[in-house]
Amino acid sequence: MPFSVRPGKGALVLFLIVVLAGMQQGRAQNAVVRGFVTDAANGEALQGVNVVLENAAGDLRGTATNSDGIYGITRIPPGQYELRATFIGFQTFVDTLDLSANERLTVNIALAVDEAELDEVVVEGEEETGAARMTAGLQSVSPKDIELVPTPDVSGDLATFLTTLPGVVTIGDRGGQFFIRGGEPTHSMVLFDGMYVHQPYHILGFYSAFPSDILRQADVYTAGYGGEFSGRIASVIDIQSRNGNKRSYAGSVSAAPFVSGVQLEGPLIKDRVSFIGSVRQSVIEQGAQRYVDQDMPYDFGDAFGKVHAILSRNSQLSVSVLHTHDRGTLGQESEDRLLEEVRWKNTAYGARYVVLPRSLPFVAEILLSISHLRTEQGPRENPVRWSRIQGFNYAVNMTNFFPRAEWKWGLFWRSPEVTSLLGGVYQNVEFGFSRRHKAGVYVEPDFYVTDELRLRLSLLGQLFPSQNNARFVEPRARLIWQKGRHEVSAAAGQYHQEIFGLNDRRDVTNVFTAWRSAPTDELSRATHLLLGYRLAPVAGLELAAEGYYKRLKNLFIAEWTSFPRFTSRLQRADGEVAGLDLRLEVRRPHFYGYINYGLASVEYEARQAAIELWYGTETLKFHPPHDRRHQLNVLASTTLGGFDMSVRWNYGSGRPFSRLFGFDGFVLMNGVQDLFTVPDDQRVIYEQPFQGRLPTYHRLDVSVGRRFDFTGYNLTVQAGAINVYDRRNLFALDLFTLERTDQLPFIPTVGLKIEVE
Amino acid sequence: MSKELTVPSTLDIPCWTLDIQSPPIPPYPHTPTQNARVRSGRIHLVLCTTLLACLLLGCDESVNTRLEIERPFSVWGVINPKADTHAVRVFEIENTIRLVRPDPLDAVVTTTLLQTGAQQAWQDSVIQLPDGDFRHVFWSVFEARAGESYRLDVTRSDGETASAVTTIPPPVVLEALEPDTAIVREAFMPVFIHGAPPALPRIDVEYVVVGFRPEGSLPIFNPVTFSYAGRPVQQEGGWLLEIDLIEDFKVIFEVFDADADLSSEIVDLREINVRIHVGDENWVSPIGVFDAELLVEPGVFSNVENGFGYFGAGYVETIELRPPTILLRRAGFFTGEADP
Repeated sequence: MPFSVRPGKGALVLFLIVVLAGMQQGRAQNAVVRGFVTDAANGEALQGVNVVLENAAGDLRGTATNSDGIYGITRIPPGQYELRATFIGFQTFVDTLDLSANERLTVNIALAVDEAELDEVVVEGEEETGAARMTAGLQSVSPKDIELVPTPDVSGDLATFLTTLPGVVTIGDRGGQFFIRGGEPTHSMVLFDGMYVHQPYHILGFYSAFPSDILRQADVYTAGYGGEFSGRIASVIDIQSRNGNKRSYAGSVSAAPFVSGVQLEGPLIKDRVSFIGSVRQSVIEQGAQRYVDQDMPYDFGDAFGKVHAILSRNSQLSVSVLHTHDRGTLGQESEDRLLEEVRWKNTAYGARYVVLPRSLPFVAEILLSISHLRTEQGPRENPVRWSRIQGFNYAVNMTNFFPRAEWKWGLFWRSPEVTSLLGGVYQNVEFGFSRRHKAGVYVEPDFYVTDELRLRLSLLGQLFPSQNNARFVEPRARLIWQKGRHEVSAAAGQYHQEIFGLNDRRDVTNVFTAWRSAPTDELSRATHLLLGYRLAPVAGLELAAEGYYKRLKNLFIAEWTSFPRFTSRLQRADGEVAGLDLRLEVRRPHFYGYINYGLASVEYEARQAAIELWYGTETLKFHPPHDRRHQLNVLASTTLGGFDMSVRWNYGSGRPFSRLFGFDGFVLMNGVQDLFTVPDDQRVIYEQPFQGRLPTYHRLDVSVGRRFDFTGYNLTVQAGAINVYDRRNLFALDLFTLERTDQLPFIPTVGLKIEVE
Repeated sequence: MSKELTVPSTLDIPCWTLDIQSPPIPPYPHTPTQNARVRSGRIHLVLCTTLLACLLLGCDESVNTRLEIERPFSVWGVINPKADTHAVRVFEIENTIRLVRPDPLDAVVTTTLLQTGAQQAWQDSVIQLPDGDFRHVFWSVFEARAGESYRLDVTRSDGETASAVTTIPPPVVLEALEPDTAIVREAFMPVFIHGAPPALPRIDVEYVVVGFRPEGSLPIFNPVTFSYAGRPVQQEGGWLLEIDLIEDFKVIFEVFDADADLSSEIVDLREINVRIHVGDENWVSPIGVFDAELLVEPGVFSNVENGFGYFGAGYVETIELRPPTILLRRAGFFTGEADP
């Protein structure tokens, strides 16, 4: 039976009052000025550029550009104005405008690099992002942030950076499973240029489909995200790629022990159409495995291509394609244990059209994307089980600019199609197929209530026509108060998810994810609450603290059984996640460092029918395997004698696992049996689930690199080491055979990268 | 009074070796500068100790996955008063899930007749199941009588013993009663279980039905078995089991209908075999049914002390019957007779 979640009447009335107040602000519009701001050197969009209009009386109206470099200033009385665009590291753009009543003027701005300020950019230009720049659950990540984290590659990767965030838990350095603030990997949405990427992390945990070379920015919402995002209950990672250089060709070739790659970009039509492409392929068998006494049967890679076109002064179009592949066997094989290979492939196509309509005072974004993921386990020619998720996403997002508000609103239609063929090992499910059409609409006014206070409200409505017209309304809110050195932020929201991934968390090496649709009309849902405080006591030092709480309902997790096998029988569970992130960030002219500490608790309450029979209670509370209670990340980066040096230490307390007493055999004594012939089953004698804790995890990584500039090209050489003190961090332990698999040992790395422009 | 603060210059811990150089601390009393140095030294000491504690806590690389268990064996077996040989399957509670080897089991199995104290030794045998796995089945030949209580002891060489007690259930007599044919929409075939069985863990009702190929053929025998566990109703002098011919025929018809090799036009019943498992008083599922998914949890259905499994006493009583034609026709079976 469908159900709907409705906010209280009071909340709706309040929402309408605020909305009407906002609309009042937008009435009686006069002239409008908007446009794109780009880097004159390469045509890339610039985010965070301050654009100000000033009249002769000194009255100021201003705004900052968004991630597409778009700005909009509205309700401008007719008259003469000076338009200024300022951005650290770039020369200020100044123009004089004569605006008439109701004029819609598009002014595209190309900012030139200010060579005199270039040195300062190293320090100051990062302030839009940074380790302590967490505001109401959102952390924006720039490629520069990513490249500070030591990796075995010359270029950085978003996956490595994510592991430095408090509240992000991984099962180890392989497997590609990220748990963000209590959510399962499949509770997290990853969007790349608007395309869904369902399993974006490579089998070796340093890598994802997102090398830093191709990224413009990634927004990591660990909780409290707005109405623009729907369909996941834990987190959103919204990644934008660069558009490619519109002025000149550039490229790079890199070689390292784990991954080698090629990247190329340049103009197809100068100043109008550009492309960017990147291909990476693992070379572990030829590289790292040669000097590591360990089988590393991993093969993965990714390819990305994008064409970006400036169609007119008012519109831009980009087309993106992404493909990833992963193949590998986790754990160590032994006489009694034959490991099955896991494989997955992502393919996504997307188009994005951004337009500033000449006659209408808003920015429109039209997204169309198709995504496909197939995961397999078992022999390549005849997999034991496979699962596939594919679907399209149409979305229209609008942004109206008002003097003290931005209104976002939009429509979407999605159709995730899930197919699973799970083999006989799974108990009661062998084949499953479902297609869930989903339509939705959202409105999200973002009010600059005062100079210090910003309030964003969202209301999202979703309709599932193929599920008895089930409807959901999700209210969300975000508040930021900033004054001087202090910033207080808060966010809250409700979220639903109609598909989910099923893993057997009893065996950590089993990263095969079976995608399923929620079996009933009751979808998984979550409520988020968070409160944060940020302080910049002195220049170059920032402190941030953020507490969060998530209430999760209707999670579907695998049932427990004492039979030693994977089970896809589901049990309902609710969950509670609570945590506190503390961050300290230091920026000095030649030093950058941060300490991130995360305290978290994840508790599930399972409702399997047999729990009362087995344990004497109606439900069973337990901490799932991603309940890492303490997490600490220390990063320090400096430049000495032309060498860039980074060191990172990562500590995580032990994760829960199920201990066991031993193994025996089970005979179903449903009558008088002939014990000479009756079949039996092997049986695992478990303790209550997840009562044990694995050992703590810690590791030190270092890297030293230097760039050598030559005429027309430059060469970057990087040396480093993973797991410097060779800590035996447990990756997986087969409880049945006691076979232990450790994470990567001490591995020295050397990488080269040649960049040509 | 002087006090000297010392810090070991080298601390060796399992995975770290740290050199901590501490400045020499002059004896008390101190000048303000010296006090500041002492405070600084203390702060360093606290910081170093805290750091060391953190590192030590994180130094343990081992993981303990196994909990101590004193129970040595899991035992599954039956003493059957209607058989001369009795058997128990014995599993050692092992550390890994490796297949059971055919090597001798470190176990001595005996039964003791509690009424007399007479002890019987059981012999080990190794069987190989169709999937290739080996199992240890201990067996013994003796005659068990109703009312006798036996204690089974499975003892390891270190003295650890798993044991269970069972009592042989009394005999029952099955009788097919005359059905009541007065209610035309019903077709129940009653079977009365005379006696006082402590438990009836399993009741199988097997229909031996005969069908033919659609194009015609010799009779094809097809047994279809229904579970009637939990269905008997206790009455004076025993238990009444009513076989629902109408409901069972629906299922049988579906089986025939779904089988392309069988014609569903003719579903002839040759006979019904009722097999009643009589068990001792402990042979009762805690959930009413014997569902492997639920009972597999160790200890949920077990009477073995210091071990797991179930050791019971029981036997199977059977009766063959053929309901009256009027009931068969009412249920839908082919009888060769026209409807009245």
